Amino acid sequence: MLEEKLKILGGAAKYDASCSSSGSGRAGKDGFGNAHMAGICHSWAADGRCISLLKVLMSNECVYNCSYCVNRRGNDVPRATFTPEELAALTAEFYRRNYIEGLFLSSAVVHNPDYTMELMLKTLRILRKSYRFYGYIHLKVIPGADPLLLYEAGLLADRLSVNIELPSEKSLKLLAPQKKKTAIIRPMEAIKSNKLQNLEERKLFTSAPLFAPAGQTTQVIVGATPESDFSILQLTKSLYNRYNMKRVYYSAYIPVGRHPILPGPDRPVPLLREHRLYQADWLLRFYRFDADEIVDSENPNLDLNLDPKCAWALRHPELFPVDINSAEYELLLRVPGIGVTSARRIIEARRHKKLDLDDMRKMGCVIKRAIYFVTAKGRFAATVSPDSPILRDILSEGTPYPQMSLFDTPSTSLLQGGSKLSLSDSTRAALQPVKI
Amino acid sequence: MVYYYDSTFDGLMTAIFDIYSAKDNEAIIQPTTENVPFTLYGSHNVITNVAKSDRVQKGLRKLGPRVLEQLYKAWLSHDDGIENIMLSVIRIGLSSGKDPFEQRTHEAVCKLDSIQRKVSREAERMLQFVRFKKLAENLYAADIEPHFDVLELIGEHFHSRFPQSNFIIRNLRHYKAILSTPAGWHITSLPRDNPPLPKDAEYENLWRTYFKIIANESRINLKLQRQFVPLKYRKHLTEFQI
Repeated sequence: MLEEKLKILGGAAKYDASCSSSGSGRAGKDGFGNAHMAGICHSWAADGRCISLLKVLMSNECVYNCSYCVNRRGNDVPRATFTPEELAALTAEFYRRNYIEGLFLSSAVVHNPDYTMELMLKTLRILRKSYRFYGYIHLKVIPGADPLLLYEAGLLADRLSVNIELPSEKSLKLLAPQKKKTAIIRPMEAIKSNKLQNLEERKLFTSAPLFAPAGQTTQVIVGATPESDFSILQLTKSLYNRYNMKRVYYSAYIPVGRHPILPGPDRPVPLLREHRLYQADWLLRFYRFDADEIVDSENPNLDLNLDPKCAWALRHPELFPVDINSAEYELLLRVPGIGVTSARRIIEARRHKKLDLDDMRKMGCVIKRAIYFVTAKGRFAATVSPDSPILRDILSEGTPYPQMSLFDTPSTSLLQGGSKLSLSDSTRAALQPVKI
Repeated sequence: MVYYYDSTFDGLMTAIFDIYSAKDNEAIIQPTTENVPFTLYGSHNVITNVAKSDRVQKGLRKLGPRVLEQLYKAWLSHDDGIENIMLSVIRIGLSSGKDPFEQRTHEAVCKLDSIQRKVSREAERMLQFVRFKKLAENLYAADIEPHFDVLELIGEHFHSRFPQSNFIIRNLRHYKAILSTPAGWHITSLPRDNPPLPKDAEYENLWRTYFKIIANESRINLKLQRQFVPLKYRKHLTEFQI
């Protein structure tokens, strides 16, 4: 019985990309569990994605009928609802065995948003108050629920999230007519202001309860609707800036139903596009890039063959090569092949000695990319300059992720995805004399 | 001169102290073995001295907040010759008066840092991969077989996570175990022969069920999975047992 529910409600939750358990340091001596600041993944499923939290729906008995969603009312799938008691017990038992870091609880809308939130909060109350559980809890807020329920959710959970799902209001109207943009935006605003207020309170009273210490996140579905990467990244940027999002997750749309304006089941899942969006997202969060630098209205989509940092560097040959021994941290971060860690190491090490390419290798830089963009001790070691038209071919990657269609068997498409460097004939010809 | 030490960290730190007092620039450090090999170098048996060790450790702490910790983790690898790489790195640190791990252009630093990272990485994996079985009310047990002896690096994590429970984590490779009770935790030695743990069927089955259904069948990627969960760790992972 419990196993059946777990199958239905775990299976229905797998479309949520988020699984992170980081950002909270909750702890208590009178019960069990604590949150690890950096988060801990406990396993990796067959799709290569980490399992950190027990990710389930409270229920999949939905009153809504959103076209992109597997749980829509009109879809003929088995339905189930956990009782708060059994879900709390399951979470605790899994946690005691070190299977998980905590609970990721989402839900379809049962009866109405308030009723659903109340069920979810009851589960959290049992965990926190009766079991004295201090592990990680990520709660997906139900849009349209009462602000008081949202406030209580923030006091019980470590992280809250509201999925924005579709990247524009127009798409939302078309595919999820029962969801309103304001109903999604309002809880995001409420989470932000509650959290700011809570931070003020905690300055005055250190004993004031924590409100969502790990902040809020959201998810955007990619590839269900025609929005460009430009509009998705602009949205991302405003979500980071306006609502202090910790993360924006991207989920490649997996066809779960037929709809005149949705991609059909024969359309491949855009996994590579999702991967590029995550890379772009990293540039925003850790590499001090601005969304407008990565894509713009003239080039509205990310290059699938090139990681976004390489693509940017190729558009800006005037800035390269940079001198590894004098470039500022911000500029080092922009060199393809240099990451956050290796940039920091370069800054540290060059205080002691002038660096050359071999030293860069010791810092963990990827020389085969960086070589075209740096000089070390006044020397440029590559045979192709940063503004050369063939550099693009040299840096292009084969698809690291196969674009699978449902008609491929996984094994054959994995094999097809294995090609590494795809040099055009002209490039190969151009490279020949260099090699001698 | 070859300095033989007793394979304890304090012993190693004492050896460093002795090397610096003797101003010996050609020192080699080795753990004491039963049959000391014939050598043309002179040899010196280090007598472990906590006061000397503390002085060295204090000096190393001054170089940077994480220097001692990183050295210690590298030492836990018990790799052949690790003591001599550590000595080179300590020399680099003490002669520059700065954090040696910031000077990665030195081959020794680069090497020691990568060993240190491997040990940390495995300790981190043990935080992920320990799977407890419930033996009785409030009594849990888990088996691990890490390549490095990382029990010391993970004990506090599990003790503070389950402060009111009694549990044992058996390291079947190095024959040691973490024993934790509400009163505290410590490491004890294990016999060579350890009976297998009983099954904890109900929740193990539920966990395997969950593990299967949470994978998205339209994005199966076993290569990526293997990268994160190398086959050598799967022996004790509930979700990979049939």
